Amino acid sequence: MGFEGFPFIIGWELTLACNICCRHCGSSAGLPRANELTLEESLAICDQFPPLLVQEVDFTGGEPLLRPDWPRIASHLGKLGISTRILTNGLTLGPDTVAQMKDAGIASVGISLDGLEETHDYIRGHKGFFRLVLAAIDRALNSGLSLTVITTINALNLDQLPSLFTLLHSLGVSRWQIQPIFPLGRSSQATELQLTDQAYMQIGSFVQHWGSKAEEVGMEVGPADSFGYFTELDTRKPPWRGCPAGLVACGITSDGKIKGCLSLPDEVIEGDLRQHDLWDIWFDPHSFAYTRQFSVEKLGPNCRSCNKAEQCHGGCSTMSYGNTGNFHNDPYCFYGIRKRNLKCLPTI
Amino acid sequence: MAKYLNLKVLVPEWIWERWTWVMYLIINWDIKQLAERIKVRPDERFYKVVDKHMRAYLEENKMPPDEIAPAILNLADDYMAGRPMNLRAGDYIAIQNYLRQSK
Repeated sequence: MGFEGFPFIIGWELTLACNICCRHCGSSAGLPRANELTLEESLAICDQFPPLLVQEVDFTGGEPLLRPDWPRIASHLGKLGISTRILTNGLTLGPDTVAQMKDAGIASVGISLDGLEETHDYIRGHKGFFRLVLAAIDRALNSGLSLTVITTINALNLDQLPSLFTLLHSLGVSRWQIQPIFPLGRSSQATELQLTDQAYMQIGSFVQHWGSKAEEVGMEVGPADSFGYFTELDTRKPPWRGCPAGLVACGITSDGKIKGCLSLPDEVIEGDLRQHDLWDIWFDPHSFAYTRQFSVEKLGPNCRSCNKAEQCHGGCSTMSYGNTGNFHNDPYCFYGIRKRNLKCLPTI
Repeated sequence: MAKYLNLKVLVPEWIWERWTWVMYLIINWDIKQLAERIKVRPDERFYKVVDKHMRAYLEENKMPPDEIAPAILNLADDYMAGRPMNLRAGDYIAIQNYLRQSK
């Protein structure tokens, strides 16, 4: 029997061009890729989605709104019955863009806010951007767009999470997604941003404590991927069963390459849409071997002796690869960190 | 046989367990609603090939081509038993592959 999964969710890097040079950017976005997909190519790729049962496409980048034809692609997806979401830094989210999003049927928009004013602007490398993002959040909320604020957590903004919670709640934000930083791309050079084991556990404690507080005031604080696993700090249901990249989701780069997850670096490519259809890449028995052909023998030293490894498959592929250069070896895992630290305790 | 236009793909259970962990943005979909959503939206070719081989099998007792025989026979079983027409994921993939090969 062949593989029977489908790419229900597709992350699509519309362009690698970006109007900011964030210190934490895992894609090192800034300039567009050399040969990005044309509108015609993009629309033809969309037409390949329905037979693959694609349900949701998330536009990312770079900054996806820098690509002027994004409304055409979104509208086309809408006609195919596919829901589209956009992740943006918010800088170009003026009234016209908000109206375009509504016209194009954008189901939801994610805006990045990465700390209080000084920290956010430090990460962006530009003073004043914090205030522009707050204005964008306000504009999105007032327009009735479904909004999620996204914060990438690093060593500089970790202690600001409670203040950010208060700020977002006061703005009327009802969904806040937080995700730990990956040491990839530009972020790998930013040593001041990297999380220690203790800091990672602190994120877990924050979500546990503030998640329930948030519910009381009608707000949802949700961790994204690369957050877990198997302790009281992460009680999501159903529990983690291993990285979903290439099993229920994949990513498309702006030059038409396919990855299991867009957060993975460019060397982890499964195929090229300029040479093969997505169907053929997706169902190629050699594709996405790191998740589809997992076996416990492939576990790295961080996970090899773990009693949850068979269920966990070694954590988040991107976190594992970014930190260790290997899959199935995720060092940022609540369960693993706790076990490692218990070993360090002196025996009586 | 207009029922074929609303074929539903039965996706393996493990997929739902993984789906909720894909987080470009927080999703609020209930997992059971997700399962309900996965309906085939067949293009004309898909509909035609299913219809053609179902009719041939049910009305003329003609076996479908080998590549799609299990899929058509499974659907025919559902039809004969008066059950909803559900396509197993593997059968759906087989029909799509057949269509792609005969392009």
